[in-house]
Amino acid sequence: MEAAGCRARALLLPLWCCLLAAAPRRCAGQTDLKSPQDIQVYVVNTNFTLRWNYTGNDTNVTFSAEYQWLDPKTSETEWKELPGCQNVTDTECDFSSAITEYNDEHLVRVRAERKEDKSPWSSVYEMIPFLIAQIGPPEIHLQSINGVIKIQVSPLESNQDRKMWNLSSFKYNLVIWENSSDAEVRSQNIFPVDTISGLAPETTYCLKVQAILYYQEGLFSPIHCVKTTRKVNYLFCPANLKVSALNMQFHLHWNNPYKQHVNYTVQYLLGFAKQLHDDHSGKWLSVPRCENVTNTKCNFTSIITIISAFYYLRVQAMSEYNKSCLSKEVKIDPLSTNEIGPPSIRVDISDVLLHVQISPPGGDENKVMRERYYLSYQIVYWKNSSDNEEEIKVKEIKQTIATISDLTPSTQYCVKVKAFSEAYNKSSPFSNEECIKTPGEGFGGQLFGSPYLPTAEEPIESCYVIESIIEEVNQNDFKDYKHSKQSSRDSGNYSNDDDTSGSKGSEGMLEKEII
Amino acid sequence: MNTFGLVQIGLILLCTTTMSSLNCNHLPLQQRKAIENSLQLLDKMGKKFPHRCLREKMSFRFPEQVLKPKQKETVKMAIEEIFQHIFYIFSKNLTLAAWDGAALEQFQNGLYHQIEQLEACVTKKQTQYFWIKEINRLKLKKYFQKIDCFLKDKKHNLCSWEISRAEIRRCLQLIDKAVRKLYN
Repeated sequence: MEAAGCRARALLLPLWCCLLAAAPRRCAGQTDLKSPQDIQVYVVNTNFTLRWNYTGNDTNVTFSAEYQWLDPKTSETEWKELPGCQNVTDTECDFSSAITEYNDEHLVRVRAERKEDKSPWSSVYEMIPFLIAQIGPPEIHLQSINGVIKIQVSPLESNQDRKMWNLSSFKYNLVIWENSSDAEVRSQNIFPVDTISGLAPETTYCLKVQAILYYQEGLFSPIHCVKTTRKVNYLFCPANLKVSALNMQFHLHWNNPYKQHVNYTVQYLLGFAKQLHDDHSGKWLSVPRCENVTNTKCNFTSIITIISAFYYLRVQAMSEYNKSCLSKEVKIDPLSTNEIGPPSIRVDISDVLLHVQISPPGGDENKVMRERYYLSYQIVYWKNSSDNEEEIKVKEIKQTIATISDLTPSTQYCVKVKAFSEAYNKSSPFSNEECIKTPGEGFGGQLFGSPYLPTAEEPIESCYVIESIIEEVNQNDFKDYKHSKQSSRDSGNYSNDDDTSGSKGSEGMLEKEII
Repeated sequence: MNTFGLVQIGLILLCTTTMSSLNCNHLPLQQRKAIENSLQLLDKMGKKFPHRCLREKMSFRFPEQVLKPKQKETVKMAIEEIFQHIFYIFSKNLTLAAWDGAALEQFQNGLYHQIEQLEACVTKKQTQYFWIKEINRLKLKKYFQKIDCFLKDKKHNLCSWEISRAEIRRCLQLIDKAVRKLYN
């Protein structure tokens, strides 16, 4: 504690004098100067500002600061003069030149001085620059062209040797409003090189941009105002781009009301390219077999090499006069864009058990959909009887084989199945309906609607059935709905004596409740 | 005329802010698949690690504790931060590495998608606020800064890239382990 002189006199003077380090000393020989308070450091990119308050008499008072860099490699701790903060008259100073290690801890303190008098040091401010740094305002360039605004954001700290944010990929938030009263303010994410469209022509808009790093928002740029130009629409520009995708086959359609001869080339861009600062206009590639075509559709499945990735598509039109026009872009997220087609089913009966075999959408060989959508299936079945009392039952499973038991003999049942993905909140249309009649007492079954299924006398693949039942039991997603006037509770015990013939499921008997 | 313009802005905003429609409860499953893909592409990019580069090997010391914090949300943010750093590193001057350009682009594209998905699924504002001040964030920065400096010192030559690639591979494997543990 700096009260060395005071300590010596502690016996003679009131104790409180020495305990209040920041208070003006009344001890003889000590200074009257108050020490600065509320010391703070503000960091914007690599600009460091020290600020403090001074509540004492500030005539002819200057301030000087000291700092320590806690070098993790050494254990040296010595206070050094802080460049930029020596003998300043303001209550703030810029010490950017002193700090080079942005990941290490630093200490700062400041005191007041008047001629030979020096106040006690303020409390120490501890900081790790990187953890308190604010993201500075970005520099933006605007170009008003053809009714849209092209914007380019310069990378932060691009001309600096020392960077605070040197490992960072920023996102940018644009805030834009029409320069009139009552204008609504809109906020949207933009890429470093982007186009702001959907604007009214010949109108002045004002905008500002901030850089965002993960969840830290940076300071806004100054406001820029720009007037949009007239919009010149080439008649032959491709418009109304629509993407349709079924079972991972992707198609793009567009239209062009222009009757004259136009050639189209569909181009694509890998999604991540927009995140980089370089101008990606040269990175668009042509979609194979959609180059210089005259029809207005394109199958672009071949470019979707990675399912979990973004792609952008656009259509370039070339008129017979060698004028070209680019359409708007569409963004593709394959798993979100794609629609799941219906599965197909086969039904089969043995005694009073109805087996449903499901072929996943896209076919058995197409593993992509199954794996990426984590498909489940909803089986809907009902008694196809003449009376109006329809008891529709629903069962949800993850496997492609299910067994329905406890059926009434000599009754026709109908089944249909749809696939759904909880992960992507998508479901397919229903499969074809298959109907089959349960055998009468003691007779083989009669089949409807599935001419290529084996009859009841032929061996069935019971091993799959066992496997699926066992796995079904272990899962929690077994649901059972009943929509009917009857409130009967089906309780069926199932047991199977057949061999499992080497299937993966666990062996043994199980008693469970099946529909 | 004025309102029409604003309506259009609104529509464009709707279209440009499409994010993945993945149900966030399924994120861990999807993440593991995505990391598996990334590892495959990382391998596909180049050939086997050249023997002569062994003598230049560096110890970067990945801060494993960042993947073990108390809250799930913080780990998600640590993972996103790591992906962002990896994305940044691989967007640098890679010509001397002489790798398979297509595999590299696919790697970047997949990584970017993962980052977007994570961001869409981390929603707690409070966690975000605290993450900004988190010491783990600093540890990650120091770690990746080491790799970045190493590459710069070696002028991005082939060996420095191969060593970095091996390190990133280790990184992704650690993340995979963490994701497995978190959600089991």
